[in-house]
Amino acid sequence: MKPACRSFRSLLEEKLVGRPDVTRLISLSWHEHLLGCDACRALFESEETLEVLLATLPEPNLSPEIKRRVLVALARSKSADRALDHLLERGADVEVPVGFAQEMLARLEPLRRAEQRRPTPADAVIEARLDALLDRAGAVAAPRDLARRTLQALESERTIRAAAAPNKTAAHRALQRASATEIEEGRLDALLTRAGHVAVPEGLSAHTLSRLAPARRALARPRLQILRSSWVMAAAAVLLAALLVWAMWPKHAGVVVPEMATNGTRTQPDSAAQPDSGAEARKTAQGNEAGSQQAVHLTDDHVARAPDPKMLEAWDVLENWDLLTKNDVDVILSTVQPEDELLLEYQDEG
Amino acid sequence: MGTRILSTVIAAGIAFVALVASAHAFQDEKSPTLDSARARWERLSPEEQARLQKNYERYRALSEEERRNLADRARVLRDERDRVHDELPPRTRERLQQLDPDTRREVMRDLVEGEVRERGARIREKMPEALVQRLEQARPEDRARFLAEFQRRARERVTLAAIDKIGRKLDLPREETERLKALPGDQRLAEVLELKKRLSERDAQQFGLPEGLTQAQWDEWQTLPPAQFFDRMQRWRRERETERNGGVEGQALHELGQAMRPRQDEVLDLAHLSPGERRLTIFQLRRERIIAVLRARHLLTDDKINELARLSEGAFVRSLRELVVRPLQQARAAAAPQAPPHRD
Repeated sequence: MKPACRSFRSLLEEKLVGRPDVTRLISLSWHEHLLGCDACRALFESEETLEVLLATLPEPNLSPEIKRRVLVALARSKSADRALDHLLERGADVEVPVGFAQEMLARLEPLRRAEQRRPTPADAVIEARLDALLDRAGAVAAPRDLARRTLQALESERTIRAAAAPNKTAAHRALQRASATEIEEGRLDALLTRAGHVAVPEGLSAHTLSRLAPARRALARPRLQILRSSWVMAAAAVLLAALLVWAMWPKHAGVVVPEMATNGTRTQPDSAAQPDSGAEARKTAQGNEAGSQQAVHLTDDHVARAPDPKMLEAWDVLENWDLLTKNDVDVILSTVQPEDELLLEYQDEG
Repeated sequence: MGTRILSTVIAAGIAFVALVASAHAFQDEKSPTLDSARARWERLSPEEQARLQKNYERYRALSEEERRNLADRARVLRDERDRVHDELPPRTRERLQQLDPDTRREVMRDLVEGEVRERGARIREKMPEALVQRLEQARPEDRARFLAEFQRRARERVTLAAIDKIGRKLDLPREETERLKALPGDQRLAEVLELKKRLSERDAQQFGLPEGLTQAQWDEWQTLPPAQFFDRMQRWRRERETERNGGVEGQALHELGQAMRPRQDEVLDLAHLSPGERRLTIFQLRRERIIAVLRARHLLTDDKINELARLSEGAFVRSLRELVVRPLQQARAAAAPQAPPHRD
């Protein structure tokens, strides 16, 4: 490894110390070393992706003892990585024994089966077995595909978690989401490229998911928000349907008064407006009153049945009946059609 | 992604429903076709359905000629209503739309009735005085029949003369004039309107646009069918010529006409009142304006004005016509200059 690479990687390591925080890596993303070093750029991208992923996960709640064991295991893994780096640096022609990974996994198979068969094991026992597993694994390279599969399995939970995290500011969440969106695809590709074609241990996913079950249960609460969102959508759909029904439903309750049809039948106000009609107006009012009474009797007979089509054809007349039949001279004259009005200009000629 | 699609679909659905509901609401404002008439029928209360049904029984009891006559007049009313609706200024339309549907319908009815009476007054001025008097004195139920009879005879008699006169002005070949005169009555009448429109267009080319009319207005008018073109021109003339004809009489008639004219904003301002109260208030406002003109121009003595002010609407209008408008029209006619080209 070149000195520049070591320098950059130690810088990267410093930035990665502590709780996951993508924003800390932003300053490094412009480091000049990344411009000329593909390996470090790939490493940076993968770490950045991991940082985003970790930031979306719930805070781990491990006992001090478990923490110690994990750190020990990670230290071994780290030393193994260093050894692997040295090995790779010493020569590209070193051949990995064919079937090495499968052989190792085959040896682990009985243990994994025993683990899976055990009904609802107590945490302490599981942890002890995990320790044993980690001890046995030694320098075995972790399946690189694990990251991809884990990300896939956690995709929905991560999305919800990121949206729901109540203790983060909106700006922080937006920044995280933006960062994840921009770099996730490319970084994941880089990770997958690095994974190569290592064989996947059988049952690894199930095991990983079973270990993540508590964390997933903790994430179950945001699912209620999805549910609530679905309810909102359903309510909107019902509202929409109701609106449509309302728009199309024949409205009997709200009385729709036809234009100019009720001049006479609005007896009191209109009579007040037309006081000059005198006896005629009173007669009309009385007639209308009698007509109204008769109309009420007619109601039962006529309302229920469909209107006569010929009646609908005469709608203009019926709707304006009072205005048309009041026979006010100006109103009558207003119905003179344009061609007849034109003839008035030539009447002296005829 | 799924949520976004669902949201988009729901938003589009709401927009669609709003459009349908809006169109549904506006259906009431437009001319009733058979379907819309049926829809409106279904929305009526039982009492109103019964009332319309009763009107229909009366309608059926009329003679065929009377029914046809009523249908013709109702069609003109409907056209007038559509015209008023279409020509509402944007601000007025906006105010109207803000009202609840029932009030909007009532206010629209008042606006249309105001325009109808204004149009009637315009026709009255052109009618032979003897016919107007006969109509006034006739029983209300006979008036429509008298008018229809007058129109029938006028169509037979005057269309031929009108074709001759307009044909000469347009320099139509004699064969063309004879062809038009030989057409069936309704077609011949329609041709008179068409010839009149051509004459107006030729006059505009020859003498320029009618005074006060913009080229844009004229271009819009020319796209109208002959009947609407003629109606638009008549309304424009009524507004302009009374004022233009000058003289004391012309000015007074113009001011009285403006005072009597229905005002859309006034009707809308009173939309909160019941229909009866609104009409009464509108009449009172018009009466105040008219009396102000009478006083300012000393057209009547104070005693007569006070007497007039106590009359009800119908009596007030009749008295005003007898005491003021008709004498002014006669005086104006006596002093009128020769008709300008656009009057032909």
